[in-house]
Amino acid sequence: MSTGAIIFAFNGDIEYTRIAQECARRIKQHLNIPVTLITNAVRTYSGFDNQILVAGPNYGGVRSWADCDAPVTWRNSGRCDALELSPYDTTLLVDADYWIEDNTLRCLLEADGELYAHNTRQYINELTSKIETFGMLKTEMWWATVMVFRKTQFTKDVFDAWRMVEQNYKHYSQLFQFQQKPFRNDFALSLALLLCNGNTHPAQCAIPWPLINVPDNCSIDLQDNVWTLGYDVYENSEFKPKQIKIKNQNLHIMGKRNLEKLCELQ
Amino acid sequence: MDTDKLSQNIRRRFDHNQAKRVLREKYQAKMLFALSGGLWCAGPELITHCNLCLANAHFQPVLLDTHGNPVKVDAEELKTQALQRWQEQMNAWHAEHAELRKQR
Repeated sequence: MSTGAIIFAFNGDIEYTRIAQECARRIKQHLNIPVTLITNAVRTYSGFDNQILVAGPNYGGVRSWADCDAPVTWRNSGRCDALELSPYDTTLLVDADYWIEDNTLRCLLEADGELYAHNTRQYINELTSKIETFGMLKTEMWWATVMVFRKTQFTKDVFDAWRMVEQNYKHYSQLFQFQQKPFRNDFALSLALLLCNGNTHPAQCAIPWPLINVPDNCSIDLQDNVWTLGYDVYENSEFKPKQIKIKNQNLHIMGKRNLEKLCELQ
Repeated sequence: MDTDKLSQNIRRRFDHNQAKRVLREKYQAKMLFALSGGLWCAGPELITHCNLCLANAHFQPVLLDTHGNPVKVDAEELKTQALQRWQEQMNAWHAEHAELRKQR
């Protein structure tokens, strides 16, 4: 039984392949598993055990980030092909902006579950973890940022449903009353899980700890493996600058320019 | 770095409460481990449960894992791993917590 990680990276306004290289380095360091890059770039990138060339995403959209001066193109479609493209029996699918700092995910690779994803999330500057909802119907959100899956019938059904939602995104956005643009893999995965689990909460798929998100308006510094994260907190009618220091913690870093800067520091 | 940014960074106060919360999330995640196909959370409840099984000579009990799945496990092996994980991570948590308290 083979185990490995796959990362999708399509360069646009942001150089995702560079970010993916750093992501892959961390996966190898902490989880010691091979990493495959799935990209539309013809050149060969170092740091990966395998590289799969695919056609670029057909669509995605434009998204604004607090750390980018202007909206950037966001190429995120085609993630529903991960199951077919993965060369591994057990696959860890991570976004390039999810940087691994410890081996916590190993327990999911060793457990028997068919598919795992994050249902709860915690922003680094918020008080509690919570389950996010989307659209007017407040559908529970599942994050496509980190997933572990095995090649089973249930997983195949989920990825097929994901593809169906992606191909008919306008229809589903009207049905569940959420914004049609930009396309969000999180929403497509959430609907796919809901459909495949008979319209009930797929509790068996939940990663039993929250996804730790670093919002794009945080300042980030990384020195000697210690993250210093700065943010503003509204207290007593004013914004007060605060910071925390973290080490050995997997982080989903949402500020893409911050990531590019950190890549230069590595 | 420009001086405005430098002085802004110096003014930033260390958010002890938030750091404590994030630390808690981190170590709760680290308490999880896989055994016999199930996913387990090391802690007093699991260790006590294993002890109870062993005291009553139930060496291969069926226990519910964190996802509520019944899993047949070796109670001794589960207890050993749970205890080891619990002690390891609690010690690390304690050390990091003490380090954070010194931050200003």
